[in-house]
Amino acid sequence: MAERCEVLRVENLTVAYNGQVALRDATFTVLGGERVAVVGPNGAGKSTLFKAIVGLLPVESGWVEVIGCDPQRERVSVGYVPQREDVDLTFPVTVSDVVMMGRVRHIGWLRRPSRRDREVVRWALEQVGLAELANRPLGELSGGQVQRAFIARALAQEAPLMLMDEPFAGVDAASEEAILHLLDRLRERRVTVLLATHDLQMATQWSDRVLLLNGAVIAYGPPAEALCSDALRRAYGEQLTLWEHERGTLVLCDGHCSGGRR
Amino acid sequence: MEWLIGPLTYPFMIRGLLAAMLVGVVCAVLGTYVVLRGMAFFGDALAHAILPGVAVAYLARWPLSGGALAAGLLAAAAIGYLQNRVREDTAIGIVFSGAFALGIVLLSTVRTYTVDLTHFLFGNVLGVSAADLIVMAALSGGVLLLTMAFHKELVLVAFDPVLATVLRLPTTFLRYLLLLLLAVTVVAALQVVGVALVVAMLVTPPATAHLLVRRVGPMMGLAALLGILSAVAGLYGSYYLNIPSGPAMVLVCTGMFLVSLILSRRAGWPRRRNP
Repeated sequence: MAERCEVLRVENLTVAYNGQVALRDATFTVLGGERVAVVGPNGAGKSTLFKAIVGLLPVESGWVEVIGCDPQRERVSVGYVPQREDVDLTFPVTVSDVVMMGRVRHIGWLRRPSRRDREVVRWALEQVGLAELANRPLGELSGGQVQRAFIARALAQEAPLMLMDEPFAGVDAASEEAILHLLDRLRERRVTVLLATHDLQMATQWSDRVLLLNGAVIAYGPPAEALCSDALRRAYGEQLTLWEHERGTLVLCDGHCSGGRR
Repeated sequence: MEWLIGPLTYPFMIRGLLAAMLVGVVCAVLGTYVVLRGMAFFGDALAHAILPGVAVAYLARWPLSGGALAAGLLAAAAIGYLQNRVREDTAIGIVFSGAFALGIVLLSTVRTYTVDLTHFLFGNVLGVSAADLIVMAALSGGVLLLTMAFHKELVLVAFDPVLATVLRLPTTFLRYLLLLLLAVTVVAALQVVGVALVVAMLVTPPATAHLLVRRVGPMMGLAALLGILSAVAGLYGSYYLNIPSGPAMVLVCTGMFLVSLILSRRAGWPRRRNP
């Protein structure tokens, strides 16, 4: 895959959620293989941005372009792992059934899964450490395992762009480790990842670029640049306390974000 | 064996049995989606809402299926439109009761009002003619074919509409397809169980199967089997006990549900766990 091509282009994007503008005039581009951390306080528009990119929320103005295609009209494979899957866990499906759903577009209308589809499902389950649970009913999994199953489903889409909304929220340690491991594997495969997180430390250490939001794009660039004290103050305002020190800056938030140092 | 073959010496019993089995299968297959999507109330409403169409067709001596189908589609569209203004279950309640009342008023203009109404409400499986049977077979066959063709997409939309949107599946098309299939199924079942009891054939066999198996395919297959079983057992029951056939089939369904409820509790299978 060409590494330095643009994979995602967002231009003057304004999105409303429940009748209120949640994200105003956002413009940024993401290159192939990049890891972008999307950070900002609660209600900053992180989830709204993701939902607009995958077409779950209508775009008020501006546009989103995924690899040269307009996802509003064209069929574009974007992997999306929502913050909380709002699905019925008593639905009669096994873990591999769920992951196979990510392949529906590859399988095509009126067709049944091919051998390759089944191989991809198996591979995706291995990536998240759920291969042994492939034939378990979804309802028998723990919360973290369910989250991993949905990540495997997004993987099975073999999409060049993956959006993960707070994948670490409320998962157990084993799942957190599995997800971190997976993120490294995605980098090897040059999959572009946008990851929304509250964790500024994680954002700093993990990402190539940080997108700092608060109803609009506050800063976008390498972590050291995007998370400078000035930008952080503009994004978090009163919620944030900064201690400048010669070895770095200590950041304390009293919102729902965790502290970190830079 | 005599008690098994005896009733079959009457041609109307054979036609009734075939019709009931057909309805048992097609209702169970469509009903699997109804149960998985939580559309039981919608299915019941749609069944009741076809009554004015049936009544108009009956008065004008048009084919009943045509009138029923037109009314079913009109009701589905009306509910779909009203959903934008009021809550969905409210929209269903308004359309369903209004259409049902209109149907009763229309039928009341006929002299044989009580008998006709009873047949439309609770079915008249022994009155199925050879021509009726052919229409029912064609409707059921069409429904089953389309179901098979779009099965994986219909399951996906039922399980996770968010993924359906992300994958850019035509969700509106799939929703209307399901409503259309449901309307046709209800029309096919009209003569066998009647508009008041269709929902039982739609919901109870799949709900029973849901208690016993843990994948959609087997659930659908088992539901179809239970549908056939209840059709046959119900019809024989009605023959020997001299009770109405539609309610007899429904009671067999209910009985099987209760048995599997007990069995599944015994087996200790985890049900309805909160996420």
